[in-house]
Amino acid sequence: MKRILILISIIALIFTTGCWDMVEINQRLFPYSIGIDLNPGEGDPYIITISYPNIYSIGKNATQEDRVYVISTIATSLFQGANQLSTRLQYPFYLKHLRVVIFGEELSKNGHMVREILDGINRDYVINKKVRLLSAEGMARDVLMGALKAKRQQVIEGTLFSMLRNDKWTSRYTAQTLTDFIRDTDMGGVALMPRVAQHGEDLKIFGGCIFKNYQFIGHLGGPENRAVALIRGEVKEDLVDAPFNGAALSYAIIGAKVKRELTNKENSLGLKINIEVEGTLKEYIYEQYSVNRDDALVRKMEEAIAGVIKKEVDRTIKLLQKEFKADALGIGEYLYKFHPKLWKEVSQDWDEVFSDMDIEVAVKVHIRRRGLVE
Amino acid sequence: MQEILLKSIDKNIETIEKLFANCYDIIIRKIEVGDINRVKMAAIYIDGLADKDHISKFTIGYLFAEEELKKFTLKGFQNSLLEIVSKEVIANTEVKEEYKMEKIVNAILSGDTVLLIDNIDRCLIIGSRGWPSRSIGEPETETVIRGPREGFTEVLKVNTTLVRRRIKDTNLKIEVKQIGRRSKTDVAILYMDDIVNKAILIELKERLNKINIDSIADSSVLESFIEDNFLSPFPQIESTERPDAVAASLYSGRIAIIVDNSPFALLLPATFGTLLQSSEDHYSRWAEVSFIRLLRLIAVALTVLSPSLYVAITAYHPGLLPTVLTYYLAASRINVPFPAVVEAALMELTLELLRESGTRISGPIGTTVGIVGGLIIGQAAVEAGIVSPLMIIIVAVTTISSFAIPNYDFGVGFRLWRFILIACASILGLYGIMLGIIVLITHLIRLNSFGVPYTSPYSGLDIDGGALRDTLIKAPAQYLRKRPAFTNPQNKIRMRGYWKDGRRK
Amino acid sequence: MGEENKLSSKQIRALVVSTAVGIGILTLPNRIAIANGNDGWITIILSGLLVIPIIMVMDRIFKMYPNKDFFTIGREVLGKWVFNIFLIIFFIYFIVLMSNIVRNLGEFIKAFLLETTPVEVLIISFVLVTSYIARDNIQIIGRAAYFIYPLILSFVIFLFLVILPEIDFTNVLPVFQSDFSKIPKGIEIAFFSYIGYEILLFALPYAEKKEDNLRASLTGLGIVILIYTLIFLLTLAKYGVHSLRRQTFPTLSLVKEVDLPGYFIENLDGLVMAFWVLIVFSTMAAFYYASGIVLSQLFNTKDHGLFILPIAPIVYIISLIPRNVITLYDSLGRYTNYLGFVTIVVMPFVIYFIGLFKTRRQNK
Repeated sequence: MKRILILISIIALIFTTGCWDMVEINQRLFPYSIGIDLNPGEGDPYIITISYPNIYSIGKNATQEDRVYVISTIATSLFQGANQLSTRLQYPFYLKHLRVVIFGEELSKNGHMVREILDGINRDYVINKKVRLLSAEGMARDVLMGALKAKRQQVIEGTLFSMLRNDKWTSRYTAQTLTDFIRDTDMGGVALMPRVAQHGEDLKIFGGCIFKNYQFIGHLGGPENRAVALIRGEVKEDLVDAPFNGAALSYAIIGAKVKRELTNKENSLGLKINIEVEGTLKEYIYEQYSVNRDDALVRKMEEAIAGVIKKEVDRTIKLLQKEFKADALGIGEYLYKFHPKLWKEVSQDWDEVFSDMDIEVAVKVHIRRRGLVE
Repeated sequence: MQEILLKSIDKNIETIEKLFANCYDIIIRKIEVGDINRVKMAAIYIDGLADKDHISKFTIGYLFAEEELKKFTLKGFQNSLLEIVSKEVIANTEVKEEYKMEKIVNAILSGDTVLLIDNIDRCLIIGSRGWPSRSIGEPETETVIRGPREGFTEVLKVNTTLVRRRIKDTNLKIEVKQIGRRSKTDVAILYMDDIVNKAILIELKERLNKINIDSIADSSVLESFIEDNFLSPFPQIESTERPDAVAASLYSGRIAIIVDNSPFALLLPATFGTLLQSSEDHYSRWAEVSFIRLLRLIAVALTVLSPSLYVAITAYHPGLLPTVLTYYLAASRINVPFPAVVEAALMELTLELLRESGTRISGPIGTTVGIVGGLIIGQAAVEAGIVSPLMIIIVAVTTISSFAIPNYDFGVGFRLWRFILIACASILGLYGIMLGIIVLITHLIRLNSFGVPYTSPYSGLDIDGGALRDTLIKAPAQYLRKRPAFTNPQNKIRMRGYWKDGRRK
Repeated sequence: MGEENKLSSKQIRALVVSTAVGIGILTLPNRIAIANGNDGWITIILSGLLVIPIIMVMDRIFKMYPNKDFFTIGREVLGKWVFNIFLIIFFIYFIVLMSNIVRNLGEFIKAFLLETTPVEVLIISFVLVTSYIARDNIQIIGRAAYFIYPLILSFVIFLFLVILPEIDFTNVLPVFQSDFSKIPKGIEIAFFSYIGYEILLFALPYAEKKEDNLRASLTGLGIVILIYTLIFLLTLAKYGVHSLRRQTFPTLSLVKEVDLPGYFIENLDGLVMAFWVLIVFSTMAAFYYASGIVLSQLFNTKDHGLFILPIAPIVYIISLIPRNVITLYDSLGRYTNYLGFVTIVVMPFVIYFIGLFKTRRQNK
């Protein structure tokens, strides 16, 4: 009997004093994007903007209209910001479902601060390490506010995230997760982050910002981003237009194979990049029916497209080598993995070596299918 | 108290009358037989237990009619009168001589008729058991789509017959014991002499001998006395009302116990594997059965886990859900005033109530209870905002999966454990659930059923490697050449030659 | 039935796997990557191979004295007093090891599942729950190990399958480029991640088929080597060596990267943490049982169940000594390794060689 009494009292004690972590699901706020800006005014260095779904607008018995709330504060760090905001809201934030982190343009230019924030996010137990990174054109806060207005794009998981998730349909930008960003920086000191901007009523994600040692040094446009993706062998579906016989040839890239080859000439490093592109013909006006079955014509078309792609790739490489001196192409990584001895020699002043490197690109295009009509 | 029969029939009758004083159902029919010397005899039986027609026709009728007996002179042949009566007169099939009072009384109480003859200190016990009983019907708790439709009744002899019909082998032994000081319930132990593991048989007999109780009302009472761990919520002995299930178990080296007055036979040893099998498994095609068996494991997991997982996830770890689901779940709980624990406990208790009242009430009222409970309360609770719609789904899933566990008692164990897990989840979230599961696993692993590990074959003590073939899944019959190994039977091979690798040799 | 306290060879295999795979697996890739970089898998395999002679010696001891358990052999070979000193070291080793395990578990759970729950509650509840099984004999421990064993395997296979689309195997390159003088350092780390097979000293005498002992134990070891190597390669392939060096719990972080198509399953880390509690349980159960047995032998009692509950507060108190997670590795982790070296490397060899010497002399 005594034993049972003791047991009961222990259990009662646990129930009354226990439940340390219990917070009901409807008593938390689940932000999906956070924007971080440099504070131009006085006080703490950052402006933290958090956007989270309004759960009162979800479901059959929705009582409220606004689907997304955006709120911002000035704080010393991301977590400080989230904490401060909780005092203004009815419930605390829970960052596990955080999907997108946006860096404001001014902030991006400060490598130290970017690093500090990324380190904080990476160190945190709760935040998912697959969180997507974005660099804003202008203020991150404006982008998040813009997302509010973009009615056409509104989805429950957050506009930006849904757009980034669908990056397999385009190569104009490449979604970058936190892990991959840090890994790329660790490898070669350079990583890309897609760029986001307000475009009329909608949001637009395009191109990539180059971060060298966590510092924003410049950005690539959509086609250049595609060129980088091609060289890295990470290209997804995308369209290329090429002039051919006076008409426009539209070609859909499905995938590409990349072979890299080291060609050492005397003292300078040389690299040959062979890109084999696979795809289908999308659009072309045929003038003569008989020619349709001519393989020679197809070959000519392939050459035309290859020419366009090669030009684009060459231009991008030059841009990266001369202007940015940043190896966003993964060449350093390639050397490290496949020519480790060489890498040891050049890694010390890799940026210089990279910009002086002789990179030769050969593009081969295959048209495998030509659509339903002849 | 008179221990044995005396020569005087009057004294014997007097003793019996004294024992049966105030028993209105005792019938003592006194007759006198013989023309020259009239011999007093008495047929004693219990009204209702003995077959009256049978006695009057084949015992008393023949006694009156027999020519030799009429002319029989008592003098000189006294001692063999009993033999003459039993050998030449009575037309019954079961006749036994007896002189001990205790056994005679027992025989009367079991429905046999005792024939006392004057001047002889022995009597005849004539088998005349016959009482109104239910006819063999379809088993109600274990129905099958394809397979025999016979179920056990409350009569021991009928039940053993049902088994015997399926095993035409002298190795099927049926030993009968009487247990219960007052109820004197017949308990039959059935086993295949050349298959069964003798160690288990000896152990069982020892345990049966140790029972000292006044009555055994049903096989479930017996079960609780011979179980290894009676404190456990899980049954360590399987019960079934299907004779074909009993026969199949006997073939695989297990032992069956059939208790008089109970339509449920006990099968032992029972393991996690056997308790999750239904007799239908032997009749359906292997692919379906394999699928269903995996499904049952999932059902066990759902029964135990789903409400507690709901509590842990909503109140502790909303991060585990897909993002969109998190939002919808949060939205559906906006108006719920209780914490998830209270919500879960409330609904699960309501459900248990409904189930209880549903089983006690049969027929149209039972259906009403089901409809009122399931539809109206659920719907109304959601409308009133007391519980979230997802909770209703969880409750429904739990109930449905608990019914997918073939053995009722086994399912009950898991159903109870579910409440413990809800409590654990409310204190320590997912970690609490894991601790609860660890205790559950430990408990199951520690259990033995007559020396056989309860968790066999998942605990790795099967002597034969192929045990999972007939527990986790069911391989086609051609691959099941050996008997299940968990009982360690003497005779291990079930099928000889002929089939190999699914091809005809 | 006298057969009750027997272990099948499957259970012995499972015991080796489930006691070895425990807390180490979460941090191992990181620590190996720091020491040996891309070639860490070599050290993992090498140190796994180093364990083979130890297991062989353990098996030989029991072959030399058939039908005797470890304690009888120890007393016979070393004499009562020397052996008792060994037993005391053994006991301390188990206590420190268990404290290390539960503290690590507590810290992990606190980090990933329950942030504000006091770590004391997490630790004491786990110790108490484990004490339930530790009171039983080795057969029950074996059953539990075999029960958890498929879970460990399926966990690794599951992880492999879901992470496959996320990883880039060229990250494993370049091979054979690291500094080979650092391999001993790596081996030191990897060798102690295999700790757990000392349970064989208590399990082997109860084997059902003694002739299969060696094969079963070595198969178990092989599986552990395979699991460790696979996990290391997976984390390396995902993160690359530079990032891997910065991931404190690479295995768990790896789980965080899982993102199955259709986005139905995400944020698996919490679920995996919960699962991992089961794996730690099987490790802990074996050591808890062993420490109870050692105590009962020291005090010459037959039933070790008596000592299980009194051990719980000791483990609890010691586990709370390290100030923070960083000192946890330096203090408890290091002591575990030192004591482990004495008990699982030195002791079996000493017993084996002295025993060999004694039996040889008897035969002459």
